[in-house]
Amino acid sequence: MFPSVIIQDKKIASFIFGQEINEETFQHVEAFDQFINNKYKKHLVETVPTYHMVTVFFNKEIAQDQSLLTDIVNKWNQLEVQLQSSISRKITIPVCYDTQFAFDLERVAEELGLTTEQIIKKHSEPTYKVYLIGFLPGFPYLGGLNKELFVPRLDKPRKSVEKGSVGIGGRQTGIYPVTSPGGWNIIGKTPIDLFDVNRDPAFLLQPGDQITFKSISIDDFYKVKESMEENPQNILNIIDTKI
Amino acid sequence: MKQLLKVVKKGVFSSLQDNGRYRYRRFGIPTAGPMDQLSFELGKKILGNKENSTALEIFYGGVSFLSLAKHEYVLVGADMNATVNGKPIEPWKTFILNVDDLLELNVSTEGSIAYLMALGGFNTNSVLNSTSTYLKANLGTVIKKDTILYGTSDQPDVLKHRTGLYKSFIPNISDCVKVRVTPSYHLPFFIEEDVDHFFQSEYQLTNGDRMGYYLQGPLMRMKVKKDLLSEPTMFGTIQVPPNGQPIILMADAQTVGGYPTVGKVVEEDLWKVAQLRYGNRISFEYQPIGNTTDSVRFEKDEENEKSIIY
Repeated sequence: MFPSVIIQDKKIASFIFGQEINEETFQHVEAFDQFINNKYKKHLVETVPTYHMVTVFFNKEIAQDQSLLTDIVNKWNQLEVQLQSSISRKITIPVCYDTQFAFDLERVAEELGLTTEQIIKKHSEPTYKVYLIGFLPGFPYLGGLNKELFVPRLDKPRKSVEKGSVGIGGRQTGIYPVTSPGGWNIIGKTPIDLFDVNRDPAFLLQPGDQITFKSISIDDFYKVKESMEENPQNILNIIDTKI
Repeated sequence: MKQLLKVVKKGVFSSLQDNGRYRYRRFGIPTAGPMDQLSFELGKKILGNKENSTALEIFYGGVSFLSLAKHEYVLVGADMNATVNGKPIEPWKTFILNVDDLLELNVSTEGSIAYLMALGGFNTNSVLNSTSTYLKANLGTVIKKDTILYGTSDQPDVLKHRTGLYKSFIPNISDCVKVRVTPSYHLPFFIEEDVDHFFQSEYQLTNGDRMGYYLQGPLMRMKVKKDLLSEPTMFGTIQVPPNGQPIILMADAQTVGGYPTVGKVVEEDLWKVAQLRYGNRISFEYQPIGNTTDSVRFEKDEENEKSIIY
């Protein structure tokens, strides 16, 4: 697919693949992000993929002489992009839905006319896609929330939501990677850190990942938490990763 | 590591910054780094510091330090009427502090940000390949009373000769600036009249921090209410939230945002924005890409470098 190219500054350009959130547009975004990072590494500072575009920060000027941009678009168009085969990691994140952490679970259940068990089931059933990461360090924007769980955000955001809290709000679900103010309905908590600078990798998730939530007991929550505190590297044994 | 300075008075807000933290924007980590990149670059060149050395970025002055060792420094950026033991010193020119000297930065009359740079740079922990401070993720250092600033021990304490920047090359910090803006593809979503006003009028800085500068002036309204997809934002992006008053995203710019944008302040002009004080005025010049000329940046230009520093 031919992207629209937008030059944002002398060394910054964006490649746009559509105007809405859908799987096909995002497959192009993912494939292009991999393509440019593989083939043009020496010209790049970094790239930021989002729902419908990839913004590329170059380490040299691309605006005056646009031959590099032309070359990129031409090479991309010549590629037989195997969109289906774009590699995506599958990660299972443990979540404790106990009301000790799930401040809003009972109220949300009432609002939606569901039992708390139904909410937990509907939340931990689907596979979610990480479309982009932003807003907070390591904060994933996930696609794939069951429509029956669409619920308004809090009228008044909480001043502080603890890191690891799992929330739903509007059409979205997500996890707070660091303690911060937040307006989502909190329905659970994960004992693992999405972001820890003392760990390699510092960030658990990246755009394109597929994740599922696994319901765990409160005992398991503390077991996992302890194990993480012992050695942040233990995360690799805790999350169930398949590539 | 060698102890260089102890903070006596912490002032408004001062943080350690290097060039910035790159390659982590896809994980939601802003680049951070210096707000006034021009002064920062020139300061490093005056001292001959390494490309990625660390400096202290100081907002609005009111800060003082006790010297713990003999060492050479330079102050660049906004003139904060600094004194050593009560005697005025000149910015943009290196100076030596001896043990027990008191360095005081007072208030600036023009500009808002100064950099205190030590010969060899300050020594501090690098996290995710950078020493730059980004508070939301608890990265870096914001100074408090009694914070100790360290130097590197493998560096000489002082230069052979005092150096400085020739006067004609000192950036002209102003309280009324015009900056060039690369238009955004969102521009057609705004009412045309409002877009015209944006590029013909003055805005005033009302509030701000390292993340964004809030402006007040003619309203920017959308033609129709449009839900935009979140997309990458950066240092210089001009966002318009629903109240119609623009915000210029600064060095700690969030990596993605969902508000419509007017455009991006070109890289070479960002320092002018950074140095604005509350109440100062700013106007914008429509500058489609391909026409920017670069007159103020001295990137890796060895010839140029020799002629600007004495």
